[in-house]
Amino acid sequence: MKLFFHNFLYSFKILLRNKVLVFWIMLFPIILGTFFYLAFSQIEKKESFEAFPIGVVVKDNSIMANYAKNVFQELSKDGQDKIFQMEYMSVLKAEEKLQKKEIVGYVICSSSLSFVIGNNGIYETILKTVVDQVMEEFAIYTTLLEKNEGNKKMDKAWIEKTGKEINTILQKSFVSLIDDSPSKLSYTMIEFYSLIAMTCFYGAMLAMTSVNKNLANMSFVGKRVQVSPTPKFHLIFSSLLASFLIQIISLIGLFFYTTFFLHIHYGEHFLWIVLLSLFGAIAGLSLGVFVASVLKSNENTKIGFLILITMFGCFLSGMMGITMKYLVDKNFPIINRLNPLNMITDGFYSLYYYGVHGKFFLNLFSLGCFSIVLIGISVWVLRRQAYDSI
Amino acid sequence: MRNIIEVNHLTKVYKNLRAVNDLSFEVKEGEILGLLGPNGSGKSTTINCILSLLTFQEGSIQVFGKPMTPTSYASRKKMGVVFQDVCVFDELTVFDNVDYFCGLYIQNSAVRKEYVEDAIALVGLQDFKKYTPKQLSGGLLRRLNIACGIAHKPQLLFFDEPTVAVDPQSRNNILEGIKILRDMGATIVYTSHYMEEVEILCDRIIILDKGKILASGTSDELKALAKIEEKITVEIIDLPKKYLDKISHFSNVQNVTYSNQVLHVVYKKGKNNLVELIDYFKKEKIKYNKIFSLRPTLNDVFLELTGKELRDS
Repeated sequence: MKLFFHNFLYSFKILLRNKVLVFWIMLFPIILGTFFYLAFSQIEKKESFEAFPIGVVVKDNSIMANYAKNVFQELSKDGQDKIFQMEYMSVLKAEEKLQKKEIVGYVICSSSLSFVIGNNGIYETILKTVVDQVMEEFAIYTTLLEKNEGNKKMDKAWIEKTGKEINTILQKSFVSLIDDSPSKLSYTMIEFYSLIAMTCFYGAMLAMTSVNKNLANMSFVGKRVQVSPTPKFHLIFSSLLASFLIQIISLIGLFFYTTFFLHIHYGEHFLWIVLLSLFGAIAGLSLGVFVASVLKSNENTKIGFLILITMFGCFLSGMMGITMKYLVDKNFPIINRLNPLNMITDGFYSLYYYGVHGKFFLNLFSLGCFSIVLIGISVWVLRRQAYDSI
Repeated sequence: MRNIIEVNHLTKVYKNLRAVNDLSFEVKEGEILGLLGPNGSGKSTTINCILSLLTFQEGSIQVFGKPMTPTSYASRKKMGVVFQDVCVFDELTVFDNVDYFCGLYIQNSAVRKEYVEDAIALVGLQDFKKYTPKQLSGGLLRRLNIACGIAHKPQLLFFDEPTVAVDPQSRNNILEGIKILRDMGATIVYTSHYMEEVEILCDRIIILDKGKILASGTSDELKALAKIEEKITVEIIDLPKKYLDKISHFSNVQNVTYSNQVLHVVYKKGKNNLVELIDYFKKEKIKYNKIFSLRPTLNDVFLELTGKELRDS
């Protein structure tokens, strides 16, 4: 036990004093996180939708005019679905306001629906889309009414009742086109989930260094360590434990910095996020042990290889744009099912959308399997005690 | 004296290269055995096989009377190694490096601290305890490498070319340290391609070339193999050929060369060769500057056995 602690303590010291490792494990995620925060929070601010002013000119009391009036009123109510800041006005007033750019455009509601816009832009496009949609829906509405005209049982009350129902259905379907998700995952959160996954897997470098220092065929110090009267696995295990501790410290640092300095809110299931991160960290360590034991090349090549694997895994799991994750999931699902970084980010997404759910546990299970397979292969390779050449 | 190491018919082959070829020798308790040979002669491979770092195709190795395997932890506890490469952690200080490696053998922290201090003192690094390896010169780094290998006071020590690329001061310090360890009773296997070091340090020497033992014995026993007794070197500004011919016909003279104003006379045997030569110069009124006589070296032995210089190999 004393020997275990002795090796653990010195491994911890050695790893922490390795400036290259400390940069990649502790500083790089924080730097990248800050960069993400600055870049994506600004994009989100720019892209955050604000209701824009329009004018509504009601020319008569036709069904179409009333229907359109109702729709624009609904879409101007305060709440999540608010799109417009609507104001009733005359055509003259609307023209004047449009000239002064006080409104984006105005809608003329009569037996037919028309609109006038000042420029071409995103707000004008939205207004046009809404007007088109209203007209389309109204067409459906009237078609249904006309179809039922021959029905002998159809009376005034029935028409009103059916009309209201159709109207409600249409309005609901209209709203659902704008917002179909119960909770919105921001760009920033997607990036930060990938960042945590990346940090977990950068731990692979720690594990690789820890293993290398105990192997005679991998490092000079490994030769000296291996001629000592201490079993190799004893030393490797205590060194890996030191690596794991540093990995946990780096994850704590990342969570602390992003939560308290960048004000990232990780949601309600924080303890489950921590659990998933720990599984991710173990998977990262496993990859490091695997590369250290199986790949026969110098340490710098191995570090480069690990960084490449991690960044590519992050790329496929959406770090450089969620579209990539979507494309891979859609076209080559097997890749992301085998991609351990995707297992981590997928676990975070499922926690966010569905809470503690089967999909989350499936990701935990997949990470566990990934780790067991890699550690198994590594142990099989590392069981050799003497080498053909060193 | 009992044998600490017994190597029997050891053969190690790397793909197409037979690095060690049917090697047999033993190391007795308390002696310093020198393995002398040029680079690539199989010295380090032999040591790595004894340490069970390398697998080998044929032969057997016993250390402390037991077969040596990678799990011979009891034997390993009594062994120390100073590798040719500097095997230390750049991230740790001098003290921490020695303490770390010593800690793999000695678990009692009080005893370990004492051992670490002793090792640092032995190699003369007391003033550099808080330095990191990157702050040390090449010579000091080599000394640290030695301290890491000997701190746990092993009974059997391997020094694999510990003085490669070391300044003369550090080399002397290292050699003095090894002598102290021998005086303390350690059995030592010392490999080098510096014949002077091996000659100074070792009780017995094995000369290796291409993985084979060319000769073994004490320094004097090996020099006897060189079939020469004495080499006399004289600085002469001008020596006409007739004198050279005359000298070459002296009794016991094996070979005479004159180049770059230096005369080399090699004698097979005999006494008073130097006196005879000086008398001849006086008689012929040949003026000379310096004259000195040398006993044959291990290089001469190597030359005799292989036809090539040890340094050039």
